[in-house]
Amino acid sequence: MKKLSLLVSALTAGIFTTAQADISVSGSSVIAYQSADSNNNSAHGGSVSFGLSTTTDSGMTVSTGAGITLSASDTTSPAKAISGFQNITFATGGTSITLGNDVGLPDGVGDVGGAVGSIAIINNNGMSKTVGITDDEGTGVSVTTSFGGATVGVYYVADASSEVHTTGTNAGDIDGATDTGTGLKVSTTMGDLGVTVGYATHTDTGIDDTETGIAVTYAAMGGTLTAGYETSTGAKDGNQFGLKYAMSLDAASVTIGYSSADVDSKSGNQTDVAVSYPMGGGMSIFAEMRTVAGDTGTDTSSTSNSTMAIGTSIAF
Amino acid sequence: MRKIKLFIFASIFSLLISSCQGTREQELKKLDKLWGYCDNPHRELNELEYTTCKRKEMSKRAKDANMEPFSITDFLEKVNSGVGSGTGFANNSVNPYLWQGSIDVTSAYNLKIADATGGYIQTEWIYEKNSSNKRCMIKIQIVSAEYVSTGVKSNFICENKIQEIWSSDGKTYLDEQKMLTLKILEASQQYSSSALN
Repeated sequence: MKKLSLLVSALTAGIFTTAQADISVSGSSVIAYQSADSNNNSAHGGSVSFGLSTTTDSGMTVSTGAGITLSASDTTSPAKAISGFQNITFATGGTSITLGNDVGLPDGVGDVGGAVGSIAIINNNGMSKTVGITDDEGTGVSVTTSFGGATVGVYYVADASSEVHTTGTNAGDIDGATDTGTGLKVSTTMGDLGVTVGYATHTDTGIDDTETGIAVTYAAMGGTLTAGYETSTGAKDGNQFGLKYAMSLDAASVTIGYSSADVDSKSGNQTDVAVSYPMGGGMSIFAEMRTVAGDTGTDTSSTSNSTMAIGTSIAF
Repeated sequence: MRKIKLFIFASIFSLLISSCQGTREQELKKLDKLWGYCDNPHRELNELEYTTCKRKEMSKRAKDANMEPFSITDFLEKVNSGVGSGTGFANNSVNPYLWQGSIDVTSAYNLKIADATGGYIQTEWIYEKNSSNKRCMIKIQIVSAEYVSTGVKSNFICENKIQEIWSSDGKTYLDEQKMLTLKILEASQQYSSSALN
């Protein structure tokens, strides 16, 4: 047997290396009419996203990404942004390791009730309180691998201070970090069910947060039903559940989502409806609506509990 | 305290990595089928990538439509290889660079089959010099018209001779197959580079 292996080795001897680099690009643009009661606006935006990867001689894939954005919905931070190059991912076999200043903790796993994009929620009052942790990304490392039929991700953020992301101050200052986070995310199947469980913590000098979430997806009645539940302690103490059903009607896609949150003695709920229709060539038209009820955010003359958007998006 | 945490974390990493199975992309594709490409909990798309992905998803009529981003590298290779323009290959499913690279890599051996139309190469049985009761053959299949790293599959078949009967050794040679594929890619890259100049 050993000789046979030697024979194979001889066949492959004296060889075998090359680097395979790849650059991919995606882009999209959107224009929409957006309404919150009597406050009507147009929204324009677009983005280009670059993926860069290469394969080493040993077969390990190394990748990173970057992008240029003109946000159609962000009214608080600069609408134009250059992003990316914060993380590098090393993947070999069934394992990938991500290192960088923008490693995300696995929070929000059970937050599945959202069905609309960012434009339809402009000027929506929103639910007053939802579950979450104080900060969920920063300088750190994550590892994802296969483990006994499941995909497992382990996360560690050494410095989740917001300055890292907004100004670059102290970026990567691991030993001087004032707040840290850890997390675990596991995805597996149980028969026809897809199940994902996530757990995330955030610790700083003030208060310690935890968040635990579960999401289940199931193909049913010609569509896909997704249900989620999550609970958090610390700065946001409470629980939240959500349902989403996505189906096709002819070529159109219809998605209905519902979320209900009970956090810090505030109870609110949110209902989303989204319809999109592909026009071919990457273009689609869409109509989306979000309605919130119960304990909502502050209602002003320019905001509403019910908002909607109609528009078209083009994917390149 | 922080060092202890890091140590525990590193230990968990090691355990996980040592038990890994399959490939990362295969696992992600399994989850894609359940959750959809954009909402796959382990694709870890950032906000920009997610937005772009959802807009692309909205524009697709089929749920299982290709959601992979457009590859500039593949596009340039395709343009320069002349795939689809009828420049010498009867079958557009066989990338000419990968085919030529495969021929080069197997040139040291006698070929039993070299089907350019189907993109298939099979060597004769290869015997070790000092042992006539062991033999192997190489099978190579070009499976893509595009010049991509996944466009070539290779396989080693080995047999032992036991009491005058040849029988499979029952082994798979994953590392060797991977190296052979890399060598083909390396050889084909020379043709690709030549075409660029």
